[in-house]
Order: sequence, then structure tokens, then C-alpha cells
Amino acid sequence: MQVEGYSMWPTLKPKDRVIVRPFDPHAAFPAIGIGAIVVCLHPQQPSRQVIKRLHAVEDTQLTILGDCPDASTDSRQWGRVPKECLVGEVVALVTTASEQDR
Amino acid sequence: MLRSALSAIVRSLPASTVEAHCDGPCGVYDPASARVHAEAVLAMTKKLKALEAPASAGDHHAALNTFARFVAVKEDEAQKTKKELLILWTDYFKPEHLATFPDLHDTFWKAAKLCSACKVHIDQGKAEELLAAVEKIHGMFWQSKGRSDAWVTAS
Repeated sequence: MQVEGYSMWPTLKPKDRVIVRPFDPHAAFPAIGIGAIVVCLHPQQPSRQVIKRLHAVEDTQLTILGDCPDASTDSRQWGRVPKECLVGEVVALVTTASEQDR
Repeated sequence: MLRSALSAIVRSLPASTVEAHCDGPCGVYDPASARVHAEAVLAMTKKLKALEAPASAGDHHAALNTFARFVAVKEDEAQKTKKELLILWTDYFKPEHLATFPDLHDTFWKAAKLCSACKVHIDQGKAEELLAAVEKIHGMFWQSKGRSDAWVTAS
């Protein structure tokens, strides 16, 4: 997946590409560790996918935050996100903008 | 070398987008901006139509200057109307809204075309159509927010 925006800066920058391991809905929950970068459906606009860092898990609810709060809309505005929104976990950063710009 | 090659391969692959941004720098949208500019387009069109030929040769340049200024303002306001409409169309409205407003794309497309028509011509009918289109968008916008704000014009 290709990143757009700066809410995960400086970890992720626009045009970075990430490899995402899809979340197994049948796996024991939480199957993803706190601190992982995750892809979720936007809780209010499910046609959009957002990338944030998993900050906390309470029951079946996730708190997800951007690494750059000034450029991020996240659980601070949405509140906790239901686990059904979870798409997957970022397992690798494949390219960076700086590499692409060379 | 291997890493560069792999990066090049990955970059060439199609990738879906994942958003890492805020929902908007401010999240503030209001069709009132488009309405004000559309009203200005109509006002300038009326002023242009009301212009009279200069009474004497000495007034010629002054009349030309007034005409040029009126046209420039009409052009500018029509472009601003289009910009405000495009912000609503492409930033505020989402695919989910199409279920409620199946004619959303057609409405915005025709409104944007009317902005162009108002630039190209001095046509009061087109300017009135544009304002009516903005009023329709005003209704769709506030309905999407569960509100029914009244349509109030400045002029």
C-alpha cells in the first residue's frame, strides 16, 4: 500500500510503500502488539483506509494514534475504533520517499 | 544493488492508498462561500448589461475602463465560485453520499459548467441558473449534515 499524508511522519512519509499482513479475524484477539503500525477502515467513512499506530487495546476496541499528532485525525477525535475496522498490520517498509526521489 | 532493484520492482507495482493524514486541515466546509461568489457573478452580469454607451467621445476611455473592470470581476468571481464548488465536491462529499444524492456528480458538474458559461458570456440567465445550482448544493450539503439551514442571500 502507498502512504498519503503526514500523520505518521517521521516514521512514514508520503509515497512510502508498506507491506501489510491482513488481520486474521479468526485469530485470538489482540493478535497485534501495542506499538504496531496498523491499517484500519476509517470508522466514519469505511471506504477509506487509514494507517496509524496501535496505542491501546481495551476489550474489542482499539485506540489508534498518528505519530505526528498535529497532522493526524485519530482516536483523539473518533474515540476507540472497533476491531472490525482493523485491516492489517504493517510488517515492512518497502521503499522510502528519499529512495524514490533519487 | 539488490535493494535498489527490489525497490524499483516494488515501486512499479500497483498499490492501493492508505491515508496518513487528518480529515482536513480544518474540516470546515460551508457552501456559503460559493453562494457569495455566485451572487457576485450575477451582480456583475447585471451591472454589465446596465452599462450605457458613453455620452461623448471624452467619456470613451472611462467607459472602456469600467467595462473591463466589470468583466474582470465577473471572471474572477466565477472562477472563485468554481473553486469553492470543487472543494465541496471533491473534499467534503464522499462516495457514501451518492446513496442519498444519486445526482450529486451531475449537479456539481453542471454547476461547474455554469461557472464557465458565466465567464464566457454576459448572460443573466446563466448567472441565475448558477445561483440556483448553488442553492441546490446548499440544500444537499446541509441535508447531509442532518440540518436544514435556510438559504439566505446577501443581495
